[in-house]
Amino acid sequence: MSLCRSHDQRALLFRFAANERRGNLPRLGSMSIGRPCTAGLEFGPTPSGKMYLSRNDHRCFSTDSRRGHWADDFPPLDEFELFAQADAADWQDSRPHLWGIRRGLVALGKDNERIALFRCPSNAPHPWHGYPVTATAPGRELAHRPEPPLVRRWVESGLIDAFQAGRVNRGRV
Amino acid sequence: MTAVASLRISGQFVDAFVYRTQLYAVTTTGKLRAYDVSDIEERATREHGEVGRALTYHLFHTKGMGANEQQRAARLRFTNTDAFDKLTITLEGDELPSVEREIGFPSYEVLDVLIYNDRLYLATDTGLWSALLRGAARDLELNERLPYRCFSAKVSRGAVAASCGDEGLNVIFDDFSWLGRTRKDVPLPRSLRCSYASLGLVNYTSRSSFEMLQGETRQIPDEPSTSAFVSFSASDFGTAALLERLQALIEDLSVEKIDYIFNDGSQFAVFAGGLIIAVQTQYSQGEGRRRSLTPRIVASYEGNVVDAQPLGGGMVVETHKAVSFVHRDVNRAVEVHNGPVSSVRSFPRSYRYQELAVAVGEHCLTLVAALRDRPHSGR
Repeated sequence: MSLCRSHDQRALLFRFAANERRGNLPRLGSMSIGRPCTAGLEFGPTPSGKMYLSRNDHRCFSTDSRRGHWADDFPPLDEFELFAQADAADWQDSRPHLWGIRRGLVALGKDNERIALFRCPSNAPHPWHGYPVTATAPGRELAHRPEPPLVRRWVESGLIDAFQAGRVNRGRV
Repeated sequence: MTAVASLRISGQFVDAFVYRTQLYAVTTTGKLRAYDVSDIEERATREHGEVGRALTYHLFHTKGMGANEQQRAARLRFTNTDAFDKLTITLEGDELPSVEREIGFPSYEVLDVLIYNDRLYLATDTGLWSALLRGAARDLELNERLPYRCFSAKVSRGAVAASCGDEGLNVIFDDFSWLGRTRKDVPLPRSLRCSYASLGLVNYTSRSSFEMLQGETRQIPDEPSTSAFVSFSASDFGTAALLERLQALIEDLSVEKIDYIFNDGSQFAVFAGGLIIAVQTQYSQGEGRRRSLTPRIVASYEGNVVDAQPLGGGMVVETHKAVSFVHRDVNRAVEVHNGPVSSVRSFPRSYRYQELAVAVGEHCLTLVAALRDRPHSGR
């Protein structure tokens, strides 16, 4: 395993460890600490057996402006927890990617994105990864818009209301 | 001077459309609620006096169309637009007289609303539906018109153009059987939204890319002044041709730098690099092609543009955080709604509501009119 060289990652790991010692983390057991690797922090497996990679290139310290970046206040552990929640609730589309949102459609991306897309790995042994998306990005109007049945389930589960769901379905989020 | 007049109707809605003498709103509970414009006017006047009456003149009576003598007089009493600048009128939507009908869909699955020739069209996640607006039935009697997810619908000269994503731009020609032969065609394979431009149809394949179709019309029997679209054919005018013209103004402009494009008839507005650039286009019958005239920078903008619609001497621009009116040439944005919205709509082809825009926020509808610099005759 390669050592993580990023100062921010070391800081985050330190914070996770401190949180876990204080008992502030949800009951994800041993999977709550990310394992550093060259591309980022690896988490998992989830109860369904999926591994997850919080990739450096979708973090604020990445200089790649073409990629969606997670917000500073949405650390890799939150990213993994959202993925685990999407996996447990089967928030899957027909492709089959997983999607995630925070209750009330709170922002999770650096550019105010409110929806997370977790791409299904093309090679089964590879971990999943995700990033914040918006359907208002030119050329991504359809690819970054969750499918209607999924939005309906978010409404039914009380995560978002009809107004917010309307905005998602209309590609305004 | 840039000023707007605005009026809010509280309530929970996802969309709204004004047609003839009614304001239709889709509620979050899946109902189509119809308000009489006259009831809104009466309530605004009762609660706010003559300034309320003058406000409704600006909102609902472009160039005085349909206004009564009292409204005209009130409008002349408040020629100074400052009277409206800090005025916030909010009417309780549940207290206004209204009629509600069940739509039959969850409200959030309604993606666009269109009313034309007394027929309601609903673009939804499950297809395009239509219903006659007349009748007293409690539920709308919807007919399925297209079986695909439909993002938006526009109509002109009897042709309903529906943007159905990767199911293409679907056009239902002669939908009112004026020529006696309704038929469907899919002239383009991808469409996210579309907009008519005189005899053209602009199809947007993304927020910043479009292609233009040129329409062919036929005269409606016994109505010499009216014609209906019968076909659309490809033209060589699209993003690339427009971009070429824009590069004369901004050398390093590329498609990747364009945030949003919309058209108001034959005029395009391009949002790129913080600048709003207007370009008028003209179709030459002789040459059989459309060309762009000299582009000009009309205003600047900030934030991520979600949607924009023409209004009065400018446009209403929606970002993730607010809706603002941007006056062309003045380059000053006036915030008309604070917070995210699910719809922004204007009615540039309506005579009476040409200067009205409706923004649908989380807790209210905001009706906005751009105020003119000089009073018009009002006749």
